Amino acid sequence: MKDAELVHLYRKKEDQLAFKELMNRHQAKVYSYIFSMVHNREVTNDIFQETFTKVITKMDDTYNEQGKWIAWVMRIAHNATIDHIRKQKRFVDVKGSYDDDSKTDFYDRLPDEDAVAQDEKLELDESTSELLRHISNLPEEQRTVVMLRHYYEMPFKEIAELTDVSINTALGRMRYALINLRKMFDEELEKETNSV
Amino acid sequence: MIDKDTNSIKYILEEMDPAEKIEFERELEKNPDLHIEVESIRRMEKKLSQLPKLTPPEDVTNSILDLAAQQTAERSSSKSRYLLSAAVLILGLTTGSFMIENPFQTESGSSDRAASGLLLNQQILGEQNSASSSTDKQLKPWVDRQDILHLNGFENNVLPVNTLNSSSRLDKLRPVERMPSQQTMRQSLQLTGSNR
Repeated sequence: MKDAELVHLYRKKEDQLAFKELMNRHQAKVYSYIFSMVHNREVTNDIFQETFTKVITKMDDTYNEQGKWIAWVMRIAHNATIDHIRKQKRFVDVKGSYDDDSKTDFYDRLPDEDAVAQDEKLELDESTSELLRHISNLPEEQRTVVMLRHYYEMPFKEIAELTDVSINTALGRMRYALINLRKMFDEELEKETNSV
Repeated sequence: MIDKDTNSIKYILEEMDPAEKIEFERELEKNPDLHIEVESIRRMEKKLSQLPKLTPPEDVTNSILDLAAQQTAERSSSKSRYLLSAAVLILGLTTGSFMIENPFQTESGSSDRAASGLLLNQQILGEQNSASSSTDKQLKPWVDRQDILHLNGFENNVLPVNTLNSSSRLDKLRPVERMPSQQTMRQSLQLTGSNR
């Protein structure tokens, strides 16, 4: 059954099982996206719960069943995540130099407080932990595009709409994110080589 | 952001239309630097597949499902209230329109209180007509200045019992006890509701 049919069953027929099925289908993607952005289990739980509370309470008012339900849910999850990240950075002076190499400013380069030493709690292999660590060091805008693309396989048109930029800007952010990740892996490799 | 910068990522993520793709592949064959960039980005993009899919804790999921059930119950109860209100409204409108179409039904209902002499006379006449069928006498009611109703045509000044029983309006009337002209008013019955 399609998402749209399940949404209709939940809204019009008050079918709880339909909502449960929607949750089962998408919860891992939403949860993983939030975690990849904040790197903290408790914060992820809070944002995930906040997202679905809004989904449940606002569905009648703001979701019109024309667009994809999951895209609408992702918009809520994305906004809640970005709100959290920005609150963490609220009191920091953002007047910084612009880095032409990474296409980021000082504000973008600030590490998230939550993104430190959370990976070991997940019992991930070293390679995955390293990847998550590098992703957490990406500027927020680049990280968002990478995660939306990876977890949702979202077309760039939708990513652009969700993040309020043009398609070319979204594509550019993806390109720079991957280039920056490659640089980080190269630097890591170089350090390991030098230490041996 | 110029298009040239985003071509490599568009190509890797299959966001190009067929014509763009053919043109880009021609360019790729001629430009070794572009080829290196494409391969480098492609490797990083494949590395993203290592990203874990995480699931939310069961207690978080359950609390969301509970909220969904609660929301459904609230929506259902407000829908019932709405239907009840609608039913009352429809009933009111139906009754109103029925009353507009049949105004005499309410007027006859209120005639108990209005009880105009004319109406009373008409009804008594109607009732007495049926009574007169047994007596073969025609009643000729009239009201004098002392609010005394005169019903002429009864034998021995006796109102037939079935007439009194069938007309509740006559219950409020009583025979005039001292009628000076009683001796002279043969074949008539005098009734009054007045205390005078």
